[in-house]
Amino acid sequence: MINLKQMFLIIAVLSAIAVAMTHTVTLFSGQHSWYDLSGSGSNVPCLKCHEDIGDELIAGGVHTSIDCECCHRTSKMVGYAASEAGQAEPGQGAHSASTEECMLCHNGRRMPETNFTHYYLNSSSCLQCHNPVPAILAAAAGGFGLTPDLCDTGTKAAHRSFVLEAMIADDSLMAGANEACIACHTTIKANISFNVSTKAKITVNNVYNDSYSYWAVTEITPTNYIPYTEVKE
Amino acid sequence: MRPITFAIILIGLVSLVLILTSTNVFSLLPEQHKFINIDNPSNDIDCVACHSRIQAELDSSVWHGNFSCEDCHRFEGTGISFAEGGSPATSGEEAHAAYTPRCLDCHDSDGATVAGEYAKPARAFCDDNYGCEYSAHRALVMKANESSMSVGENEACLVCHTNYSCELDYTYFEGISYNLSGWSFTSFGDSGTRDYTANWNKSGAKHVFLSLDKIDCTKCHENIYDALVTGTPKVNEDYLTHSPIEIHTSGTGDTDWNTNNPWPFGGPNYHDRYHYIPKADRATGVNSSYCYECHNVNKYANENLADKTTYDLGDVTSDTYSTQVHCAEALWCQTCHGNGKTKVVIDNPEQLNTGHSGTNFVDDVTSDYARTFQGDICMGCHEAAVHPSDAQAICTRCHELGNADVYIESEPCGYATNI
Ligand code: HEC
Ligand code: HEC
Ligand code: HEC
Ligand code: HEC
Ligand code: HEC
Repeated sequence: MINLKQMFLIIAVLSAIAVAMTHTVTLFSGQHSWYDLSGSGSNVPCLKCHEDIGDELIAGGVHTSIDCECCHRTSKMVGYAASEAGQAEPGQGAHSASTEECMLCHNGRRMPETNFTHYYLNSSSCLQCHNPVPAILAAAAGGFGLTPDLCDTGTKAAHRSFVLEAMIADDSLMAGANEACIACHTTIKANISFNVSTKAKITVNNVYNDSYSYWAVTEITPTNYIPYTEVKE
Repeated sequence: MRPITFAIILIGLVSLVLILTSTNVFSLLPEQHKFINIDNPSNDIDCVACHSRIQAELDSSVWHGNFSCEDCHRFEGTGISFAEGGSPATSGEEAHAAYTPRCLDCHDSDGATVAGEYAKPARAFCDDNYGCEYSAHRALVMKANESSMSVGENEACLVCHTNYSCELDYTYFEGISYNLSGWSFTSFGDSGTRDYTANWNKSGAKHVFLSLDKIDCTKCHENIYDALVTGTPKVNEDYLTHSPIEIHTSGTGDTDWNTNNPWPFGGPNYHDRYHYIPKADRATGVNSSYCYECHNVNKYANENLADKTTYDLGDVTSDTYSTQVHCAEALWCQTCHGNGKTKVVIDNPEQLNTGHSGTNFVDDVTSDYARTFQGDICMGCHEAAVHPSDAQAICTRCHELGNADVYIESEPCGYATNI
């Protein structure tokens, strides 16, 4: 016999497990009803499991009407699982989605210079990225010297090393320069550790013979680095 | 209904609700899809979110404190194309979000208007080749432009105009010796090298700009300050060099070679010494304003109108290049005391015709010897502390015959012998 008290205990425990196991729960719910994959594009509703992301996109001021697959199933470098015209294609690099670089769309380049592929896109999605086709809506992110525009030298960009570092970092958190782009362009939280010089060391030599002299500044070097952290909320 | 049945049904319902409402995968990095709208004509991405420390610095800055980050870092006066959102968006070219400005981008020869305020040209340094060769610190500005630590000349601007600290490691000669016979040099030589380090330690904040009167010459030129204030202490009279401020006390009262002695005191040829500071006032009296007395006569005259009249500084100014320099002039004693100059050498009226007035002595020193030695050549005699005690009886050696045998050390020491 279970009394009311024990019953609530069980409910509480089960609820806790259910909450903690949202991944599993997500993956298993509806596992017996199948989506029809034969249409073009991805017919798996990403939002079913990634609703928070859909909410974020809509709440933001950019990309509000761009589907998940536009950014997650458009890299030529990745073969996604797909089913076109009754032919099943197994995924190669990724099954349903991959993490892509912002620069995949914002590099101002055209085929064949890009790794962008339309292959997995929904045939009715054209206007999300083109208006009209083939004019490209995604503006080239210029000023870092990464686009083909000859004037885009990036030589004066204050955050160029931020971007370049994001691109080369081995222990990369994200693809390409994404860490930098996302840090600025979204409301994501970030901790930034700065290490700045607080002093210059200047070497000054008097150069002279009996009848002529001048002061030569031979070196200016930054010193006295002080670390501090900025927290972007 | 039995409690167990009720419990099972309840569990089922709760689970269902949970499953239906919490199918979300928790995003590892929340908000990385929440993009900031950048449609507004000005920058919409909050620089301060990542640079709050800089904002705090600006808040306590005397200059530029009312500017936004964009006013300087997306300054439009240079022709740089910055990235800008909107439809259509403008792609950045030389820069995306921001650039690091050269101070001279605004403070160039025609200045600039930023946030409704006029940014004045940086005198002399805004000219071609950073102005004339008499403008002190020009070498620093040129080196700063060449160095890669910061853009343009900024290193030089920062160390003087902000709380960015600096250390100066100087190397120069240790001492000179020379012989004079009848006001002519019979020998001259330098000896040794001196390493001197001056530290101007400030908070280090590059965005805290200093009010102009806080730019303290004596911090970077501490050796000069020391030479004028401390020198090399001796029992009776300290060896103090760089500028003739110390007069030996051998006589009595204020009419002799005393520290308060003008030539002849209160008399008809009353001759107040311009760069003379009584001993008691030296520690406080040697400050930037004192430096300007010689190194920027124009500025000093404008800021000290009483002295301007007393010392005829209007005319002295025209002997100098002080109207053409940034903050300080590289000069010689001859600049003001050469032949034909407003303050041409005169004799002590008490000892008429016994000095080098009426000769080309000062001009010859300037044309024959390196600038770096000029002051010490003069100080070899004019640092009156060096009067050799046992030779005092024969004043004529110097004062009439123009003979001297001098060894004098550079700043901050000033130790000298003249036998
Ligand atoms: C059945 C639920 C489910 C659906 C539907 C789903 N995802 Fe996911 N997704 C997950 C889970 C769980 C993870 C985290 C585990 C992982 O990385 O495999 C994930 C991870 C991801 C990642 C991160 C991968 C990485 O390497 O960091 C991306 C991107 C992604 N999903 C995009 C999508 C897109 C786009 C769709 C629609 C085409 C989609 N997902 C549909 C459950 C789902
Ligand atoms: C699949 C292509 C694609 C990818 C990948 C992509 N974008 Fe975009 N982006 C677009 C399109 C299309 C637009 C214009 C329409 C809109 O704003 O929705 C746009 C607009 C923008 C804008 C607004 C520019 C303006 O016109 O004002 C910014 C900023 C931006 N993207 C940043 C990013 C960042 C940062 C990333 C990486 C996190 C990224 N984008 C990834 C396609 C893309
Ligand atoms: C404008 C392009 C863009 C769109 C649209 C977009 N994403 Fe992303 N997404 C990105 C980028 C860029 C990253 C970071 C990739 C990396 O790690 O380099 C990312 C990361 C992710 C991740 C993994 C990181 C995390 O938050 O845990 C998931 C999951 C994801 N996206 C799902 C989605 C889903 C679902 C949608 C549709 C609702 C979507 N994305 C729409 C560009 C986009
Ligand atoms: C996710 C954004 C996106 C969607 C959706 C999209 N495109 Fe594109 N499209 C691009 C990008 C980015 C390029 C440039 C890169 C490239 O050429 O591969 C491009 C290039 C093209 C080009 C070549 C343009 C040129 O100047 O070389 C054509 C044509 C084109 N798309 C047609 C379409 C059509 C038709 C659709 C709808 C079926 C479509 N696109 C959907 C992003 C998109
Ligand atoms: C240091 C912060 C910062 C970083 C890093 C950054 N951006 Fe920007 N971005 C900005 C600012 C600021 C603007 C202009 C905002 C405005 O106009 O309100 C901008 C504008 C843009 C625009 C519209 C103008 C244009 O040039 O087309 C795009 C697209 C864009 N950024 C994409 C990117 C991408 C992609 C990356 C990563 C490679 C990136 N940004 C990295 C701050 C940044």
